[in-house]
Amino acid sequence: MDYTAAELMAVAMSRELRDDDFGAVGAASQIPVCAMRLAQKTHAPNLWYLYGGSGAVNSKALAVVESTADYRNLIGAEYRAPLQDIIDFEFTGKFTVGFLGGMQIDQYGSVNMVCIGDYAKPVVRGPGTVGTVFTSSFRRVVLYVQHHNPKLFVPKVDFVSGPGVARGAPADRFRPSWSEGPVVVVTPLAIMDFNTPDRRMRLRSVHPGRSVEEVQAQTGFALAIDAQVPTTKEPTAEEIRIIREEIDTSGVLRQLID
Amino acid sequence: MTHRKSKVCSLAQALAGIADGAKIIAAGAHYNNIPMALVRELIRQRVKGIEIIPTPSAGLWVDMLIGAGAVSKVHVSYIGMEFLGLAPNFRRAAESKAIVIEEKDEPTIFHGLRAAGSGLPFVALPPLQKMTDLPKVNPQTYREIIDPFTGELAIAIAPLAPDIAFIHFAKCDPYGNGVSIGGRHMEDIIAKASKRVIVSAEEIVSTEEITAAPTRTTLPGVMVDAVVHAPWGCYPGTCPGVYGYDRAHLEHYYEFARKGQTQAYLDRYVFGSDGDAALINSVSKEHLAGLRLG
Repeated sequence: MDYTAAELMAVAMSRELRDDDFGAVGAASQIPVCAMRLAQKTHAPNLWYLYGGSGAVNSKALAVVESTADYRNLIGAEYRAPLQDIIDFEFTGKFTVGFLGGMQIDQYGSVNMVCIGDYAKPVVRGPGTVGTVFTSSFRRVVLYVQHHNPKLFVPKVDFVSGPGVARGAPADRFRPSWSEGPVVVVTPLAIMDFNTPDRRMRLRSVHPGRSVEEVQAQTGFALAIDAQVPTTKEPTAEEIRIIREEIDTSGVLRQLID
Repeated sequence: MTHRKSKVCSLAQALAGIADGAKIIAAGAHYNNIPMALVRELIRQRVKGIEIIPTPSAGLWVDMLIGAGAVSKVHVSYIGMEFLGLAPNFRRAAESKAIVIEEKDEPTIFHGLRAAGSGLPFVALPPLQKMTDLPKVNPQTYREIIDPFTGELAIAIAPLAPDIAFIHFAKCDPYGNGVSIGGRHMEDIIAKASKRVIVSAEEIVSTEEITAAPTRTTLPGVMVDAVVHAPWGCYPGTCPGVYGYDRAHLEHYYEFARKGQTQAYLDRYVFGSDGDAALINSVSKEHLAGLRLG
């Protein structure tokens, strides 16, 4: 089966989604957009999704556009949510799943969008926290990044924008009871989860053609690794057909990751 | 015979008298519905020391004002260029401490504006930010209080009231009744929170056109102080329902900004004429027509 890394990620993320989900993405989120629409067309016809920025609910725009904030996502949408709705949904746990990435991700799934290096003297000033604080109030958080290397996966993020917290750590008491926080991390190399006693990141599967050693070498902390690590299930021909013919007709996911 | 007074005026008239150090907000998200014509006029009027209160997802306009040397302080939720990458002038100014940063996030800026617009003494939020580093670097914004009803910890956010708001509409009548074809993002909250509201529009339409479909009015003119006719007023960004963003020109700006040559960009496209003629005339008619929708 011929597919790109971004298409594999979209398929893997779609399989994380449930029929009763209400999913949210931020801006420039082509991969999760594709994942939600694929899920809706396959195993989750009752799934709802919202694009931040444009506020489009259940967009049916034919092409996956560069920005989910682009109002053209309203084509075929069922509702245009103003920002107040989105923030209210975020605070009250209406979103059952949120997709987030970041400049750094650490071993408990904390996300950094603010700075690389010391906050007072940053080496790289990032864009800012935006809505990543809601890592604490989405029911489930799917983390995803288009690169997998030790600069991105670090033991401890330089700034906590979106909290991933060790089980029982003091900050965990501020998390609403409905939120599981980060549950899965999807990258071009592998899928990780947090199914460990202290909620530390665990290697769940490596993508076809990748090895456990390669994934560990590209991760800046020790992953929890079981004796047997399965290979990520490949996309089916039908999943790729749906993506290319019905969702990503302009081929964004075919060009996204080198 | 009395007449209802039109609020229509020129760009220069609308922005006259904005003081150095003013707190300014421009509506829109990422490249959508950003009132760039008003922002460019602000640069032309050489207002300095601006305190920027952005919407939770901002970039181009903030980066350009920083590149123009017009900014002293930025409230930050997201300042970036979305699919183009980090905002070059913002990044440079933040790393070199040329600007003061109020580190915040989406709900903090939103609820700060909402408190100002709704006349609330403050807004109490659940303590989600306690799980982040935001209160550590900005303790004056994130004030811990005890919920008087439950005894639980909450976070109090003060009202955030801009002096000036810029908002762009696809259509607006002479009295400030504005229509955004892409629907309402938070223009109502921005207008209610701000002391003075300046609106630009692609097209000035008759009030009859507004009254034919009043539920489509995004913002009532009672909240608007000035109306400017500004065709291509969001360029090089998107005006929802009218034209899409010009990726080539956005990249063109990004190159100038990345290389530290924003002043050369401004000299050519902003200071090159009164109003936006120099900018719009720099783009071929065919290219502009290609951005138009429908």
